[in-house]
Amino acid sequence: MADELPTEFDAIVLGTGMAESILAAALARCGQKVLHLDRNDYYSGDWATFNWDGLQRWITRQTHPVVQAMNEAEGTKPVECSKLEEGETAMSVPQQANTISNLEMFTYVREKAEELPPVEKESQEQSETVTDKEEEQTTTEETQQQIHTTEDSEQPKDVGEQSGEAAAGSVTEETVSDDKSDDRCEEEKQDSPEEKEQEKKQDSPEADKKDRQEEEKHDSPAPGGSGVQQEEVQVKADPPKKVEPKKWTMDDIHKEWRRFNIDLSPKMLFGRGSLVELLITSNISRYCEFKAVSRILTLLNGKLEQVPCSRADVFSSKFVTVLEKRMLMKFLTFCVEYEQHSEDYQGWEEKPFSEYLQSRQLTPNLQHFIFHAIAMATRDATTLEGLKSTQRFLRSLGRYGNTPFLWPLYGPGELPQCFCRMCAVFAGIYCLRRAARELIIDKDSNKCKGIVCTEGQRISCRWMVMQGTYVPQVCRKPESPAGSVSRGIFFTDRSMKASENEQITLLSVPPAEGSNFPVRAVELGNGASACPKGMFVVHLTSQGTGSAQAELQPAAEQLFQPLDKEDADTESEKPKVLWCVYFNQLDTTDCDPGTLYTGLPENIVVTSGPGVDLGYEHAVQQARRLFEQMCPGEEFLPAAPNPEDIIYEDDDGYKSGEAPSSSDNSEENGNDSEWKPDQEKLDEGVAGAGSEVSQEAAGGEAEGGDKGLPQGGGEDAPQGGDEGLPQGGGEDAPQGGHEGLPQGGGEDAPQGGEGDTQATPKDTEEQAET
Amino acid sequence: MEDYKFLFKIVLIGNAGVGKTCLVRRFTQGLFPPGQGATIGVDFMIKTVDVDGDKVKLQIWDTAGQERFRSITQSYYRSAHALILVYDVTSRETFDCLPEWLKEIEQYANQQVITVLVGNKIDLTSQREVPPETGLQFAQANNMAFLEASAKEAENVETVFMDLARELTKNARKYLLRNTQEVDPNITEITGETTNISYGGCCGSG
Repeated sequence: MADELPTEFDAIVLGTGMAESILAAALARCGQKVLHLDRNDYYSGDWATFNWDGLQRWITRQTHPVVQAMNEAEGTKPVECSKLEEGETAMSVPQQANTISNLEMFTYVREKAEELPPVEKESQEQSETVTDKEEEQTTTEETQQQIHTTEDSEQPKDVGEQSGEAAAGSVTEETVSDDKSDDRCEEEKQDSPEEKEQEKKQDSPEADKKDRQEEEKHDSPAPGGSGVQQEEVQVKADPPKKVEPKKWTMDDIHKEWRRFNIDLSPKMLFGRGSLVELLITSNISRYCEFKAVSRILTLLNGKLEQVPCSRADVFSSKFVTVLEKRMLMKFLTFCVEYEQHSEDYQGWEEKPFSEYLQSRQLTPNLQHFIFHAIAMATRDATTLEGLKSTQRFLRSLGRYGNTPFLWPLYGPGELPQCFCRMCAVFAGIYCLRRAARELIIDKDSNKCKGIVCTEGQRISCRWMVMQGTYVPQVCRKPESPAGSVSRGIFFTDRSMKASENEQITLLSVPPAEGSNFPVRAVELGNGASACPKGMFVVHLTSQGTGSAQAELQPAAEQLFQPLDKEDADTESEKPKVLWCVYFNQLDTTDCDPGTLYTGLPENIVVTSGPGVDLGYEHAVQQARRLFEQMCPGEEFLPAAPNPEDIIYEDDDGYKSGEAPSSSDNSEENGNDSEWKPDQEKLDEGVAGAGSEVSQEAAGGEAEGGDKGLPQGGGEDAPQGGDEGLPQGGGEDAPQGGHEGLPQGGGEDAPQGGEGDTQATPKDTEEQAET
Repeated sequence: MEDYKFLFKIVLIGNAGVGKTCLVRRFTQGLFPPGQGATIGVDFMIKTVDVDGDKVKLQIWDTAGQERFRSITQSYYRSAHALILVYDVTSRETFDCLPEWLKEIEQYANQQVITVLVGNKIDLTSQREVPPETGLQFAQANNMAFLEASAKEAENVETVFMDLARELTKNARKYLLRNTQEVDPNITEITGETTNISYGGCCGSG
C-alpha cells in the first residue's frame, strides 16, 4: 500500500474535530487540495465517540502517554531538521493533545456473576494509580497544571463524600405494579430473531442471578414485592410498569463492547441551530441519522419532573396549575419575540435573570422551569442572556419533535466524520495516525511553507489549519486563559425516570451551592445506540473550575443511588451506577486566539475544541469565519450535487442532469416542507414518537411556518388551539423559507454545474484506483 | 411517490486499487474502465433493479479514497445493509489485508449486515496470486458469500449485485411480514438494521 503522501497541497489540516472537519470540507468543496491528518488512530479528537474497547484504549492513552519524548521544554529550542532548505526554520509540533486531566475511573459492580468478592477495592486502587500517573504527567505540563490549580477554594468538597446523604429525601410510598412479565413478552415480540436468541441465551443465567440476588437480599429492609419504599423515591403521578433492572457485571460490559457508543463531548443539535442548517444546505445530512431528544427533565425539590416545554406538555402537565399554564404560555410567547417587546424588560437587561423572573410574577415553579430547564442559565445570568437562551430553546422547539434537540445516532463523534467524508468525496486526502512532526517556517516572511510529517516526509502547503493542541509550544503563551469542562460518564442499570418508551433525556441540574454553573445531564439508552439493552449511559457536563469529580459529584448524588453501595437497590427509582469515569477537558472556546498564541505565522489558523456548550454554534461559526479568511468570496459549503441527478454520458466524465438536483428530488419524495432525508429517517427512527413526528411534518407543511410549540399528538387537540401560544407568527415565515433551501430551485441550479466542472478528470491524479 | 419498493445501501470496501470503483461503474453504467478519478464529487451511485417484480433501488457507496491510508470514517459503514469486500486475485497483499477489514466491519457495521467477498480481476489469469479455493475458504470461515469477478470482462459483476439485491429484498419482505402483525413500533426495534429501508407505499407508518 502506498505510504507516501502527495507532496503539494493548498491546505493541510491537523486534527479531525468538528471545526477542522467543517473547514476541511468547505475548502475541498471549493476546489482546494486538502490533506487532512490526525495523530490519533480514530476520527474526531475530543469530539469522538467510542465503543467500550475504544474507550478503554482512550483512557489508557490518557494515563500512559505513548510518546514519552515530548518534553515540551525542548520544544522551544530550534529544531534540527534535515528536510529544511535555505532560509527555513522548523518548529516542533506537540505529538499529544494533553487536553484531558484529572481522569478518574470507578467500577461499582462485580467483575463476574459468580460470588467473587467485589472488585470495588481493586478498582479504587486502579483509579488511584491512574490519578498518580496523571499527576506526574501534569507536573510536566503547564496547561494542565493551570487547570489543576485554578480555584480549588470554593469547591464544596464535603458534598463529594460518597455517603447516603444524597438527594433531599422525600419519603414516600409507592405501589409497584407487578406486570413485568407482560412487559418482557412485549419486548420479545418485537425483537428480531437474532436478538431474541441472544436474549434467551442471556436470560436464563440472568434469571438465576436474579434469584440469587433476591436470596442474598433477604436481610435488606425492603424485600421485593412489598411495594413500600423507604427513601429517595419520587412521587409519581402514575407509576410506570416496573421492570426489574438487570444485574450487570463488568463481564457483561466487556462482552457487549461493540454495543456501546460513548461520547467524549455529548452535544446536541438545536433544531434550528446553525449545524442543522449547514447539514441541510451542504447536503451532508445524507451521511448522518438523528433521533429527536424526547424529553427534558428538571430537578424540582429533589424530584425529577418532565418539563412542559411544548404546548401539549404544558396542557397535559400535572405539575402546573391551570393558572400557571396561562402564565407560562404568556411568558413563553413573549420570549419568542422578546426583542419586539423591549418595554417588558427595559432596565433589566444587565440585571439578574432570576430577579427578572420574580418581577414577572411567575410562581416559583414556573421560575424554576424557565430558569433551569429552558434557559439552562448559570446562576449569575443576566436578563438579556436568559431571554436569549429561552428564545433559542423555543425557536428550535417542534421542528423535529417534542423538544428543541436532535441527537446524532451512534453519537456526536459521527458528525465531524460526515464532513470528512464530504471532503474526501471532493478529493481531500485522509490519513489517521499521522501528523506533523515539524512546521517548516520561511524565515523572511514568517510563513508556514509546509510540514515534515511524522513519517519524515516533507509536504508543502499554502495554508495550515490546526486544532489548538497542534500549535507548537514556542507559539503558546505561557499564561493560558483556557477554561475547563468537567465531564462524567456513568453506566447505570435503569433510567433516572422510568417511562414506557425508552427516552433520550436532557436535564439541567441547577448549580450546586456555591457554584455558578448548572450540571447538564444527558441520558441515552439502547435506542440511541449508546449501550446494550437494559443499560443507560448518563453524561454529566459542567463548566469546570475544579476537578471533574469534585464538580460533578453533588449532581451525581442527587441523580443516582449512593455510588459506593455494592448491590443495587432494586426498589429505588434512582439508577445504580455500574461504572463511571470523570475527566476534565481543556476549553479554549471562550478565548481569543491572541490570548492563547503568539508569533504564529499568518497563514496558520487555529481551531478550538468542543467546549462546554450544548450545541455546535461555536464550531460552525469558527469554521465559517476561518473559511472566509482563507477563501474570501467563496461560498461556504454549497450543496453537493445529488448523485441521483448525475447523468453519465460516456466514460470520460459526466454531466449533471438538466434539472437541478434537489428540487427534483423533493418532488419525487412528495414532502418537501423540511429536511426531507432526515425527516424520513426520523419518521422511521423515532418509533414511539414516530407518529408524532410525521404529524409534525405534515403540520409543518400545512401551516408553513409552524414552530414554537409543537403541535404534539392527539391529546393536544381537545385543549389546544384556543390558548394564545406562539403560532408561527409572521416572523416565522422567513425561517420556513430557509428550510426549503436544499430544495430551493434557482439557487441550486448553478451548484449542479459546479459539481460538474469539479468532476472533470483534470484534477484527479490522486483518485486513480486501478 | 417514489417508484421503488425498497432502497438498500451497499458499501464497498477493500484495499486501494482492487477495482472497487470499476465494479460499481461496470454494474451501474456498464462501463470499463471508468473515467480516471471521476469519483470526485460523487458520493454513491444508483441503480434500480427488478427483483421478482419489485423495483429495488440500490445505492452503492464507494470509499472516496479514504481506504488508501486506512482512514475510512466509521459513519461510512453505519447504515449499510450490505458490504462488498473486494480483493484483487493478482495481489496476495490485498487478500492478506482482509482480516483487518473484517475487524473494521465488526466494529462499525451493523451486526445484521450482509457481507460478500469478491475476488476481482480474474481476467488477468497469468498474474493470479490467490487461487479461488483460498478465497472460498476464507469466505466460508467468515460466514460470507463468495464470488470471483472481472469488472473488465463484466464477469459475475451483475451476479454479485443481483444476488445481494435478492437477499436483501428477501430479508426486507420478512421484516414487513413480521411487522404487519404487531404495529406497535418500539424504539429498540427500529434502530439498526431497518433504519434506512424505505417502504415505497407506506411511508409514515414507521
